[in-house]
Amino acid sequence: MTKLDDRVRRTAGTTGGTASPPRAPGRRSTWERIRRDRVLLLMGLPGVALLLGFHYLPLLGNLIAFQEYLPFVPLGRSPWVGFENFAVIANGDPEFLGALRNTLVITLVQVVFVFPAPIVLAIMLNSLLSERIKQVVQSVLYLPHFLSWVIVVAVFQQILGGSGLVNNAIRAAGGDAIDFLGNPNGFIALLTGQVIWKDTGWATILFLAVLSQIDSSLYEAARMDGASRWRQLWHVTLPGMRGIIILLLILRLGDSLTVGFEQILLQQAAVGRSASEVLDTYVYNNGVLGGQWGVAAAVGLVKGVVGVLLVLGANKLAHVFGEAGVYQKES
Amino acid sequence: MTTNAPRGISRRGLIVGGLGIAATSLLAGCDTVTRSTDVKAINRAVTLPDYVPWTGGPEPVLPKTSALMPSAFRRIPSTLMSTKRVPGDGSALHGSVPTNSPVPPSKGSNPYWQGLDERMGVDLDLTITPNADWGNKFATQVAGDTLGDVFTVFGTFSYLPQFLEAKAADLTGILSGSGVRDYPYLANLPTASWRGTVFSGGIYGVPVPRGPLTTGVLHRRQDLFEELGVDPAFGSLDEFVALCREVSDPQRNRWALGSVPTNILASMFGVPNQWEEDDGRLLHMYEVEAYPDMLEASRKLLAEGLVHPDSVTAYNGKVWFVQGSALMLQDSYSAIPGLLQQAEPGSGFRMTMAPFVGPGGAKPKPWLGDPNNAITALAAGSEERIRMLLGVLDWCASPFGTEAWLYRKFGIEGRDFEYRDGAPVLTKTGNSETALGEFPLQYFTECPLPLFYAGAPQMTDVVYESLSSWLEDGITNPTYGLYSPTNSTKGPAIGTFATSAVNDVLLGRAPVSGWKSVVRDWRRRGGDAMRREFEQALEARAGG
Amino acid sequence: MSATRSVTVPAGKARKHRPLDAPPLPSRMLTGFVLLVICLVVLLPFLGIVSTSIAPSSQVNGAGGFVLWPEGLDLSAYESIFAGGVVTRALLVSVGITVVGTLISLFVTAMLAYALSRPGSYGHGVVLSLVLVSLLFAPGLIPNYLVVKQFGLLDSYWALILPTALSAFNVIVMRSFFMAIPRELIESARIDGAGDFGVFLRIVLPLSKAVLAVIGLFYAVGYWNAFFNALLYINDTAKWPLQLVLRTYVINNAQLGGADLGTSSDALPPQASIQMAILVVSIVPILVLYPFLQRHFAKGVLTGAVKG
Repeated sequence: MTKLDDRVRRTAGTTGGTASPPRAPGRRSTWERIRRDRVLLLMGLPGVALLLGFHYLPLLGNLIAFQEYLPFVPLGRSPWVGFENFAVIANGDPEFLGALRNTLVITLVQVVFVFPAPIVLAIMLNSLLSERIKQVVQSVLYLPHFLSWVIVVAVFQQILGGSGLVNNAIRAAGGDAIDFLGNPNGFIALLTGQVIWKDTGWATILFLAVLSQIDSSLYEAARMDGASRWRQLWHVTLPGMRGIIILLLILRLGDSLTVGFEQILLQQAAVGRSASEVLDTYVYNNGVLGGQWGVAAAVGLVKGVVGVLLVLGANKLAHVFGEAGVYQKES
Repeated sequence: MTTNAPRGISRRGLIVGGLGIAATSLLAGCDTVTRSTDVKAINRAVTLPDYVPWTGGPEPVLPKTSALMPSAFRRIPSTLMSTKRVPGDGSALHGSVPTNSPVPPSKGSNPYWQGLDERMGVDLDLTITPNADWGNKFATQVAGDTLGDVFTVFGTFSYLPQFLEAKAADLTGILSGSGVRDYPYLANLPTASWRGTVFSGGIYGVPVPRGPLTTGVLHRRQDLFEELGVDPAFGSLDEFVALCREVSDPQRNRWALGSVPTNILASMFGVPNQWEEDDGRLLHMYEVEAYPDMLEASRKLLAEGLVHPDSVTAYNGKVWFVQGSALMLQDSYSAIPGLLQQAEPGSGFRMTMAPFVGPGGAKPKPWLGDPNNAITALAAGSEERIRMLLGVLDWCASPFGTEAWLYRKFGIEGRDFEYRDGAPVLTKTGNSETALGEFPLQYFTECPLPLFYAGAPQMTDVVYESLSSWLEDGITNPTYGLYSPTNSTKGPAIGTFATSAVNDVLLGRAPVSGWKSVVRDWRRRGGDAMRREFEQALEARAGG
Repeated sequence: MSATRSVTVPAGKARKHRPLDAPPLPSRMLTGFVLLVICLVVLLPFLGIVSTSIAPSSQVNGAGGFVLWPEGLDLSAYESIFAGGVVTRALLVSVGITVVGTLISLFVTAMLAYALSRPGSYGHGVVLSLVLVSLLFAPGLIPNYLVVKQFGLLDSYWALILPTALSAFNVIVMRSFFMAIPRELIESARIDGAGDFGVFLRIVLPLSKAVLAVIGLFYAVGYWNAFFNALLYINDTAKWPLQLVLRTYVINNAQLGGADLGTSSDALPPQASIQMAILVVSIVPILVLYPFLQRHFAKGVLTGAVKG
């Protein structure tokens, strides 16, 4: 199926979009192409304008990565310091390296546990026969998404804290309180649990939409061939979701160095720095708090560059497996 | 102005207060990050405004045992002084202030606000920012030049003096020395508060005074102690620990302490208030011999389960104190009205403050609260405008006993508040219109806090008794009001490093014996640089 | 993704006939059980939130600020937050911004996504790269503020809509869906003489109800939950959206009664009740909106389409 899709996609790429019969692939003048695609260009214009105006224009402000930025001086006129702000990354500061390590570990754990959770949940929901129950369950599951991290952390504290619901019950039963929130070794598990609780239900929305688009005749065909439910899952359902899964995975990888900020900052005091510092909190603590906006910008730039490389790499890898990935060059 | 140097293990340091991890020095061996600072020039001495205590008001009901003692009152006086003139000129006044309470309705639907306009004689417009987000908002306002005419400035803003020089009005010419007498209520502000407004040889703002009432003291549930039949008095560390043991009962959700009581322990061990000055030389409290001993005592309190288990992870001390799951709570005196408010009426809630205890029976030296909360700067402008704005600020500082004070706190009689048993009480409308009596105008400036508890006149005596027992001996942070570039730019990061190290010891993650290396680390990261700069600043301040 | 689709029986009808491939009972029960447990774990804190907002103050204070089941009904927390009109007004502001913002966002996003879904078109690579790269580099706080100020949007509702109107992530997801629409459908429309916009309007959009609903929901929730942009760009508290007002109640460890400086007031509900009440108020509108959109996620969508 994939190969057919490939061929379809590739041929589509070369036909262009006009009503005139496909010409032999050959050189077209730029002007002709613009004329041909003028409607598309116009359609994309508002979006691109917004992007340029509100994203790329302020992005120029990242030049403060090379300055010692003083907010009360017009932007750009602060003293230049070259690559000094980047020294934080290069000089082997053990805290920075620790933060980097934590970040990568958390990303890995999240990709392994948090990323598949909504997929599994969506498939489980999809297998429900009653539409009504499905909708009710869905509505319940997305609720935590709306809580800000401040609330989520507060709620977790009320339930898992030293004098929270769970520990009160344990103490009443004569046991010793369990330290859920202050244990540095369990911190990553706690973080992951919180993220799963908060966002899994929400993420299933997208996957359910994808699942709903899968051709039911494919299921029928598989059934007629005698496929069991598991085989149907493997041969119809999962392939049907493959495209979006890979797309989201690539985007998630591109974001590897971002693992949550407010959530972690709120709980840092409880477990200590070494267990909880990640790149973003490190930058906050070292950059923003001391008014060192330049350092924050510098690290942001580096994160961006790394992200680009990761996305490119992951996309290439996807191509190797025959997937479209996020984008591909037209042939 | 908030403390420059980080506090040890105070609650503020644990929660939001802007503490981060240390950045190792970007320029190895170099101690400052900014290039444009001259510590001595920035900390030059200036003739501070005269202190002219306001005498036009009611006599305090309790004698002032010390110059720092707040004026004590039990009720609103029957005759209130009115402010004779309206200071404003009718123009628009745009202010930027933080807030710790829910926002009040905007002026169009807020008669209280309109009344403020009338009395001040300006068209007041406020940009209100939740305290937790102040740092971000303030930075953007500075960058975008949208601070307005009157704006709050916290001492933790990096490059503060340079910023003030660039954007704020220099008030020295107008307020220094006897100049302040043009503004009688500003002259009523204590000299210690004015020290926090001096930078680069000029007076750049008006203080928002706090003083003794922000000192942390150990509150205790007198009623619960009596119920348990335990005498809450203690005269030494051992007695204190024994007391805590006696009343803690985790099975019944009851702990002796809501958090580790730093100030109490500090006076027991003789630890200085952040820095100790001795003939121009400074020693930080981390470096003092007694500090690791204090840490060890604190650790034991936690380890024995005498402190509420969520005190570090999910601090909510006030609620625990009111609820009874923490029998003793270290908090400022100014937290008392809030605690009284939250208590269930009729539950017999009664609180007293424990006396401080000194090391080995010597006189205790508690850490005196910082003189200011923040300072308020004025945008640079013509002298006429500045004088007008100062007149408005003068009105904002009208003390207890003036009609203006009553209006600021309670609003319109009959609508925003009513008298019950002779004490004013905010109504529901008043709660929203005056933002629970904390209308953000209070951050422009305030009168020195009086000892007054509307509706609970007995607290005046309780607090007075507690204050008078130690006020003369309270120790201040000698670096208050001084500027150190390293402290300003790397201070928060160093502060979190230190706090984290302290927490590691308290929670048993690191041994107290390792404290020496933490201090070495602290010194390397910027502690030594800060010390050097503060010492230079002291010299400069002394006129050297 | 699948390249072809066909008419699917609307799911509601399927309930009446037990399909031949119904999963065996044990498997269904296991699934059901797991989902039930998950639902309970999710719901428990919400139960606490709602309960705390309506429980009597003595119970809330006694329990340290969080109760699971109220022992009575006390709506004074809700009364106190709606007094003064600040919350009501903020609610209206939030609704307005969400509705207008979502419509604008959907419109702009769909057009851009469609324009990007035709590989080979002029500028395709450049624009796509622009979109992708924007995902990876975020501008700083202060430059954002300065740009908004420069465009004259400070203190205007547009500052809460325009800067975030386009989400690169949503564009990419929507593009992905558009690209999966069978070529044959588009070709046949072309042959009938439709131009690019016609194809978009008459073929692509009707087939994309599911993704439009999903992305629309994503945007709506994004607008509804946003508070930081309002914090920075809006000075007039009358223009504050609900989430920012909520923040002043929740994050400040606000002393919600008898402030530090000597005032006292009519008995206020406990701090925790007020916080939970305003939280409930901020979630309810989305709860109301969701069922309307949900219909579109679940159904298959094509009618009379080409079957391979």
